[in-house]
Amino acid sequence: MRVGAATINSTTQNGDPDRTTASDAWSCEHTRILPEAFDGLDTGTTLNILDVGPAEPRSIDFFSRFRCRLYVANLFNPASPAHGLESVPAFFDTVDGARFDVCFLWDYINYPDDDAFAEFISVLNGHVHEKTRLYAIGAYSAELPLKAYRYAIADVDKVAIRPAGGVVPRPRSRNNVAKAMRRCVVHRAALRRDNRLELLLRTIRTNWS
Amino acid sequence: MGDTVTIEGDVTGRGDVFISGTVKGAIDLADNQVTVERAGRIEGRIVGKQVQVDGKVVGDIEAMEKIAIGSTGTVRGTIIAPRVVVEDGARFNGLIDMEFGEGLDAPAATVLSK
Repeated sequence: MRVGAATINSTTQNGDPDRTTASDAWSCEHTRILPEAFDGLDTGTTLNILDVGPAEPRSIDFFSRFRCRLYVANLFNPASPAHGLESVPAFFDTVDGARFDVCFLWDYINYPDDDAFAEFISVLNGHVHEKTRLYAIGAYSAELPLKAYRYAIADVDKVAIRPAGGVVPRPRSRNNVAKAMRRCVVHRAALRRDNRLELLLRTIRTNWS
Repeated sequence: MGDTVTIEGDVTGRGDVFISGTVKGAIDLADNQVTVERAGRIEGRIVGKQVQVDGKVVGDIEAMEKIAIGSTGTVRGTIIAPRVVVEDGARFNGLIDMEFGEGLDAPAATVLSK
């Protein structure tokens, strides 16, 4: 996997954005899009959830209330020589062919370059089904800067965010996302502050194997 | 178990254990607490009643009651427990299996009830 022109933000603490300090403050944003990621799911079965990014206590607390299998994929590795991404295939090799009901990609989509993102989507396509929903944070405009945040689920209709250091995002717009994720359609989108665009995607009904 | 000690092989028996060294093998103490302290390194499966990880574990962890990953903890593998607590700053990559947890419903049920 390659990260292209992504750069390290000088605000990174000890070069390790995963380790945080007590002064980092979370804030919550109400969302009408997030609840739709769960709407209509089969409540009688164990859900397979993909959460891309660092393991966030709030998200794990949220999911611990429910019957699910939570796959946490912290694909970002600031310690790698290219300050880039871990091998995406290596993570997906460990999921035993699971197909995810809901994928929380958060703002991960703004970090890989086009080739790396295409590779990620190609691998992910093997782990979705015809009713998978994907929640992501893109950019309203790819021409405007996008601040780095960390995200977690505070509640079914609340997203917790806080500023993050580390690699500066490469903003990916709705059109960029739609073009790269051909097996999905953008079902809902909502503009948030700081050029962020909340996206809910659904898989396109097709011949699924 | 001190931080200069390395065990290559499985650990079994009775009693709570506190590990600051390295274990390359399985730890099977289903009725007891297993604590991987900050300097502890485990390469293998851990089974305990309660498991606390403040060091590094590469392997699956199963606990009868609770698994906690502290702020200095790093885990790569599958964790299975009725209760899982991950502190801010902890690193985790893998699967948290909450299928047998204390959860009552899937999230959709919560959404529908709002």
